[in-house]
Amino acid sequence: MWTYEKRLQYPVKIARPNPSLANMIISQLGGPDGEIGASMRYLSQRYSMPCRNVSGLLTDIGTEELAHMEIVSAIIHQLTRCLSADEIMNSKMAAYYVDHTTGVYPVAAAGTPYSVYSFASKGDPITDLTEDMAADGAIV
Amino acid sequence: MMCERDVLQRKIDIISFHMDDTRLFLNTHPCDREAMCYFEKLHKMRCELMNEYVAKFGPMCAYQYVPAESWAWTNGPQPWEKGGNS
Repeated sequence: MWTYEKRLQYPVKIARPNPSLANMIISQLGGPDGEIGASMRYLSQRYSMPCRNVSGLLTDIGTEELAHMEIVSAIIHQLTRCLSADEIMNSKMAAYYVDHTTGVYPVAAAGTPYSVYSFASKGDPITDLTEDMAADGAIV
Repeated sequence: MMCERDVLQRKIDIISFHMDDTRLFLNTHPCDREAMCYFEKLHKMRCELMNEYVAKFGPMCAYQYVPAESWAWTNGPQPWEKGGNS
């Protein structure tokens, strides 16, 4: 099971809102290489890992990715605070705002909702670990 | 100027971050004594800081409990609020 610790893994303090920036950063939440995909990838793949230290590692990494999801969500939330509807509709966040207002909803930068098709879990450790390297390589 | 709560939380955040990375290293290097000692040292520091935080500001984790007149778990700012994290 999981339990919640009421703190961010790394603090987020955004001084000035910026809806256009939020519209790009949200891809790191719900995009093909985002944090939701990362956590779901590791937490799904761990069951078929034959070595305990590797399945345990995947649990810890998958859990940490959930903490990253919370950090990115906090960034989106703080970038979109205290804005007028006009300010948002004149920004790159306009299309997102039509459906979600300033609620945090996991989408890619172009608006595609988060999809599990962005990761694989094949039951074969070499295949899965190779996929992990490709996924994290996309972020580095 | 950071308040006492922010200072304590910042210390817990920093130590936890070190523990997060050291834990990952130890998962694949379980016989590394230096890393084990480092983790143990951080663990002791974190326990002391967490006890102090919980006694002063209420629970940070879902299983912590501090006797109070009313339920305190949902009190205080949420971590994602601008003033809610250190």
